[in-house]
Amino acid sequence: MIRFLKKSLIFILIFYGIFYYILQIDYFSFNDLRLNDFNKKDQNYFLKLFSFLEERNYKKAFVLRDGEFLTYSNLNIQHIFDDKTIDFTNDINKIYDFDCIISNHYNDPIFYKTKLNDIINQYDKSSLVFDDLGYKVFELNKTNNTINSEGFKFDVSEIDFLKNSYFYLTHKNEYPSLLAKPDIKYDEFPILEDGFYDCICDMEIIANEDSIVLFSILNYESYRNNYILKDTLYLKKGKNNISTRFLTTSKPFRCLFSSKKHPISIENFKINFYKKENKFYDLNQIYPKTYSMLFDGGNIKSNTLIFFQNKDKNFKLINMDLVGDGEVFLSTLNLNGINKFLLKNSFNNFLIKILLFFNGDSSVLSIGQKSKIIEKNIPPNSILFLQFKKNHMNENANFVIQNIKIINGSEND
Amino acid sequence: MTYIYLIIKILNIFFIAPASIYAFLCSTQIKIRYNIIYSYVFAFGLIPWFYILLLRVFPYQHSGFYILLTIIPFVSLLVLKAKFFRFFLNEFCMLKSIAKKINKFSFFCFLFMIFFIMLWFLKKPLLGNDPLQYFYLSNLIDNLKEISFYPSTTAVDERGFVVPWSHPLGYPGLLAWGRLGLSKDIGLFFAKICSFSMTFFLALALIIVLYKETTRFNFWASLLLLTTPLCLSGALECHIDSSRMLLFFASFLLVYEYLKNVSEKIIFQKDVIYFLILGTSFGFSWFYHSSGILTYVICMGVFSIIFLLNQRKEMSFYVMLKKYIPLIFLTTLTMVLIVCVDLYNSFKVHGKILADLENIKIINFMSDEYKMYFDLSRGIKTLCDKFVFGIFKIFTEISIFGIVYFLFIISLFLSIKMIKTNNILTIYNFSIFFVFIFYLFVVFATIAGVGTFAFNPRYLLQIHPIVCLVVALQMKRIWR
Repeated sequence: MIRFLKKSLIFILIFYGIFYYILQIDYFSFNDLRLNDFNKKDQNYFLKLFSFLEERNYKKAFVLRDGEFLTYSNLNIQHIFDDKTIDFTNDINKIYDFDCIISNHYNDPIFYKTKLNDIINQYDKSSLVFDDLGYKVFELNKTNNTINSEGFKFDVSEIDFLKNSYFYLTHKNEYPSLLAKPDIKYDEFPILEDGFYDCICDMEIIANEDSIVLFSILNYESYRNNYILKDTLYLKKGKNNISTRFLTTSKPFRCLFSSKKHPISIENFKINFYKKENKFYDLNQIYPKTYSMLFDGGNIKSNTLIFFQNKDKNFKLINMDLVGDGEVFLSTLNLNGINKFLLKNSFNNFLIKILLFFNGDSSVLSIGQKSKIIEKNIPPNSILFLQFKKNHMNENANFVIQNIKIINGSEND
Repeated sequence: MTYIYLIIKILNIFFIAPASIYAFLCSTQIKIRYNIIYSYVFAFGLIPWFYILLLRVFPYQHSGFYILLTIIPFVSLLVLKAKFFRFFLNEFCMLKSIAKKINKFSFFCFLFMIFFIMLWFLKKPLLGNDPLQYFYLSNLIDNLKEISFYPSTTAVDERGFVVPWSHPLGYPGLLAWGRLGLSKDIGLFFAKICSFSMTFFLALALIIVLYKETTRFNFWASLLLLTTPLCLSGALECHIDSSRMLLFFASFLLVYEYLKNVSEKIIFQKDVIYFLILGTSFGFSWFYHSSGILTYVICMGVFSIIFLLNQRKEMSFYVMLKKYIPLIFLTTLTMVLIVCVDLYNSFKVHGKILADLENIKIINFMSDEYKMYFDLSRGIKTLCDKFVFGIFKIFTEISIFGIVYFLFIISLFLSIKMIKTNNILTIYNFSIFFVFIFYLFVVFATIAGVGTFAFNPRYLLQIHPIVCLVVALQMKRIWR
């Protein structure tokens, strides 16, 4: 009995510690240049941001805290902790020496307690051009163009007190609980044209004590974890004027506040919408299904995975021309007996990903608005997985495969 | 050439350097049982120390030059002390006897953990901000082959990299040495292996200590250590904690062994050598990270209390002080000598020898705002919060510290009679006393306004191997 208990405890201890990391296999996805820390491609977690910055061809950037990984990019950077940052406290116009400001979910005081806050939260001074994974890129408008935006006021009311936190929500009448899926009415949400919007959110929050408030914007139709924005606000006792900025589609959303320990009151909550001119690709023109071949007898049900199976004895080369927005995950897996058995009996993507983590040859590629040609060798008796990753800006993977070729080759090709 | 460099470096760090240090320790003829542990610990301290010294004295040289000069001192020492070399090899015979008594299940679990970490290194990039900075710094050192840029509060390269800390260059030095002469991919991988080796040797050290103290084979301490989520994440993400823990544990063992064998006579050669070794251990702790000063404070505190209390009956107060003060002075001097250049550089740039965020101008300028920001973001605004949400995390956050502290409390209850009656200089009682003094220091420091321990639970990790050791010693009783 004791021996059994000992073994169980060891098992629990080991898997308890490792479980968190196994979960991250899905979160951080895969990479091919994993050994090279100072190659930007190694940081696949930030790959999309790197790819975006490269596409925009920025030269100089001002980077807020947690931007350490950007030292691996090709940008000329000034970090927030550089002594030169102190100059901005005297003359904020010096910020215009930079092409962009890159921020993150760490809401440092320099972000909201200096004039930098005015620059990043005004349409005529900057435009938000990237917003994903908590990272935002603000492009500085060096010409003073006036921009006309539409503003809408929302009521915010208290909905709950749970686990020592006070919750406040917009659209209370339509959506009283966070745990139940609502009857969908968009009565309180402004009707917007289809497209992508740069939004600035202004509000006054009155706090009884110095407190920390989590401000999130959620997709209206989903009831959990589909965040458009997650911001942490640090409030001083009294009245605090808060502004924050995010990118979203024309689809309705709700705003949720949660304050730990102390109640707050939110007044003059207003969101300004400005339609972006950027051309995004039609969501319905997704990958051509005619090219997808499901694995023989496979039990895999997913609308984001496409498989190409190479049954030949020769290598095959797949050549694709992609445009879109987001990341593409590519992986080849040898179809030996064990892998075949596991694939046939895997009941969801997550298990397949674990299998690929241990066995597969995987890579993640970031796709931007410029067309990109991807080439991947598929060894004999192997399967190629191709997955388009989603984010809040594109509920379906927002890609177009413009051209696709499968070329027969030999090992020497 | 890359592979020749790699083989030389593997031989140096895992065999030649430890063997030569082992031979040196044997030649001093002081009575210590854990030479094998100290030899590996000092190898990890001395190699980056030599490398950094070489970069200061002979910058801009070829990688081969540094690789050669970091191995020559150890080879020379080994040749000089060649007759003691066989003792080093004999230590590996101990592994043979351990292998006979091994519990296969625990052993495979241990191997599985190592395998998982290796696989992670191969498959995953660096994730944490701190390791990214250390690795970037090591990359800079390796590219420039000089270190005059460190420390600096303005960007040291066009990527805007800022190095405003007062920490000496031990850890980045080790990583930079790991990269030396190797291609980017292999260099990075070997640097990761060097970082992980510290955790690995710490786990082995725990097994060896338990084996020598109890003459039973016991895997529990190392398994508990490796499965503690914060230690596992530290190993996987190549955080600096493994080095801090290893050096703290080595210092703890040195103090324990000295107190056990303390002589009544006033300073003589062996004591001096012993305290030089102890000072070196403290020095390397500081060399790896400024928080290494904690190792000095805790170890010297415990040493002073036990030494003065134990010797009180046997010698007069005057004689005691006459022995005690020069020993403390000698240890301190050795420690400071190891890090003196780094301390001088830090003082020259920052005007301080111990500081971290305080060196950053914008944080100083907006100090009130940043204080509120850090307090709120970490949830440690009041003193009560500092304890409840900071230090008590050892019990409340199982996802950080695992179940080690629960087992620690259980083992304390189970052994309460033993603690009362027994001599303090058994490994069990001494470990508990050490943990007690550590947390007493943590509590007083927190009350005095030092927020470090509440701010980041990783600063509480240094004592973790000793807590695991206590639990492992009582594991049999816990099962019963």
